[in-house]
Amino acid sequence: MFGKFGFVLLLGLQLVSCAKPKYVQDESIANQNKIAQEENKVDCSILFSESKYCLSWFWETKPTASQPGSLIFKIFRQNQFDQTPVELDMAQVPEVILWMPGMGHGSSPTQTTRLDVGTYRASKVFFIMPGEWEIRFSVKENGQPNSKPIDGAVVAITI
Amino acid sequence: MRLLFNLFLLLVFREAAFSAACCGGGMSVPTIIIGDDRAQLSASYGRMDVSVDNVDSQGVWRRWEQHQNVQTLKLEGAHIIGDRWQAGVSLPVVNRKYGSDSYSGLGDIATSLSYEYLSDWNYNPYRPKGIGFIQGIVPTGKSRADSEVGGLDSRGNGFWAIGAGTMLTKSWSLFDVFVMLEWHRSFEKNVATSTVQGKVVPGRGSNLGFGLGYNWAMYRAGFSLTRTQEDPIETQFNAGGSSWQGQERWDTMGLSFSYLQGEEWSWTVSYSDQTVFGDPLNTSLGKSLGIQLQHRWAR
Repeated sequence: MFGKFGFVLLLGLQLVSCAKPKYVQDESIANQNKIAQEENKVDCSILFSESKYCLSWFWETKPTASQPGSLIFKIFRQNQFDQTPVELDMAQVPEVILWMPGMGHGSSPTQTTRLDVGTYRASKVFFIMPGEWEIRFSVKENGQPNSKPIDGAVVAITI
Repeated sequence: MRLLFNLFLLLVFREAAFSAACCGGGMSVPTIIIGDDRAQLSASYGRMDVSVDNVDSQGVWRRWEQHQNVQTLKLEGAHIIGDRWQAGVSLPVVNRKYGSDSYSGLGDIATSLSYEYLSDWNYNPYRPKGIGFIQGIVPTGKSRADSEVGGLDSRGNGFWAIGAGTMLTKSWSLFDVFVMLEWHRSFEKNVATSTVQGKVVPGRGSNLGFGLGYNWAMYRAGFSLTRTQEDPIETQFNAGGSSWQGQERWDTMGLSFSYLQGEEWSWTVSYSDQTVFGDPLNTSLGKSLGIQLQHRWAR
């Protein structure tokens, strides 16, 4: 009687097998936090020369040979605690200037409008020819085209 | 027949359209009487279509689906002012189109003073005719540095400039050849546009060309090749810093066909192409078609 019972018990234990516990590990939580922090960090490779604020941008409408485009750009600093972006306004609405260094000329003037804190749209972005261009984000003293630039960032692109 | 060849040499330079396709750079060869005339007056019309919109500093060619075209109407005159001296002037009117945008106006005015330092001796098979010249450019044409639209409304270099050079010509039987050397220096200027407030400092430039022609009856067919290069131009910004334009370089191949209508009138149709020869840098390249009518007054 005991022998049969013992056999069934052993068989049952055999099927269940040993437990392989997966305890929550402090190290894993730390890693996840680290990954989350990295994901929240933003690219700050484009810097304003004076304020050291960061700039990111993307095409809203890409310009063509015949049609002007528009781009959205953001200005921010990195949160000192976790390096997440903190958008902020510049003293003046930045001017966006298109410049072709290899040919020594610019293009037609663009128009910049503020959309939200640290967020701007540059419209009428038109390149008169393909090639290597610079997009110059310039903050001027009085916000007037002819006034002295006080801060700026440059992005090199190929059209 | 020799006289006819000398007259044909007058037409040699109609093949040469040296200006940069995109923005009016370069400097043309002055208006010179090469034959034995007292005066000459030419009217020409040319249309250049940009076919390569940009050649960058690495020599990479880029094309867009839309191109600029430049039409030039030019009046040129030259008159002798001494046995071996002559003066010339060139007045271009330029129209540049891109899409629906069109800009017109006076181009750079060129004036020249030339001296025949070597006379052609017909009996000498080698000695060429040599004419030396100096020329001055008056910046009546808008430069790309002054442009608010990236040079679309440029009609010339826009710099005061002086130049000097020489042209050697020789004809044998049915053939003629020429060699031309030209060197120039452009001067800095202040600019104030929405893009640039500062100083634009150009440098030196040169044209080096040669050509040959075949003459029969009242006709001449010619070929020429000219290398043009311009020093890098520095843009100094008032706010500090500067930007260097790369050295500009291109080669222009010219083909021409001329008809001598008597000894006083001539017609020339020319084609030039900047995409055939050379290793261009920092420029645009174009192809152009032109027609010229010339009248000469004998001494």
